[in-house]
Amino acid sequence: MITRVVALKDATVTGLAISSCYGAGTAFDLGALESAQTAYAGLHILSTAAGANTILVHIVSGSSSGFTTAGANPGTERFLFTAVSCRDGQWAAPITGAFATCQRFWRMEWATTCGSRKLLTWMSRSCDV
Amino acid sequence: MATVVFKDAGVFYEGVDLSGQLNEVTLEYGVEILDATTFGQSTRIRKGGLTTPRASMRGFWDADAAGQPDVELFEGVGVDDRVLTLFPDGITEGSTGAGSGFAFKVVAVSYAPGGAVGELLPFTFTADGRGIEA
Repeated sequence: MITRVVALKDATVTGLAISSCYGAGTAFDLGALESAQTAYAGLHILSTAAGANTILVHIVSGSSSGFTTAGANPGTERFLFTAVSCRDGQWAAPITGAFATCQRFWRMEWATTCGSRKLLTWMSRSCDV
Repeated sequence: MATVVFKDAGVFYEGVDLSGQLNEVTLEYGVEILDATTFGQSTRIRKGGLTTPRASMRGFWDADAAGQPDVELFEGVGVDDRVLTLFPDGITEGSTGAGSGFAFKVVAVSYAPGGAVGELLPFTFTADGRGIEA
């Protein structure tokens, strides 16, 4: 099984800023998951940070590009990767549609214990992505 | 007709960015062709079977402790469900066209460093798709 993927966050050259203990990538309109469609997501952690820093990455979907951390459009968590402190590759548990609400915007969010990381996050859908 | 000069591939295997070590990479996405011919036919009847993704790459060996490409490649041989992601022509966030890529879970088939005297030490690496979604 192979899937075509769309990069959600490309921090392969310039890592996430060391001050960004919590952050989010750009929201992209990749379409809502429809009935019988499956979505996949993957993560490559390409560098380590000093100390015992961990990073937790997840992917959320929302009804518009204007996500908020709380309030009208916080988004719905769709993929949750395992928190790690070292280099790693992860393939998240796939999800299957349809969504109850039309959440067609997707973005990556992360939380770290303040360590710069190089990483790549992608997602795909079994049909038109 | 748009063409692409192949110079900006991105290759990510588990926790390593291999792009800077490689000078060749190929994705072979094939299918087993099954013979469904029965008596009374005048030509072979073919039917698509199971898909068989494979990635092959060639590059320059590097045992750099920080980047760890050699360690990751060596330890990955025979290990199920390593994540391999390929971007043929750069990475563009949010793009389903140019700058998009391919990903699959793989098991590494072979890792072969070695070459002739006087050359930059090369290696080859081949990984087959595991066929597993979850």
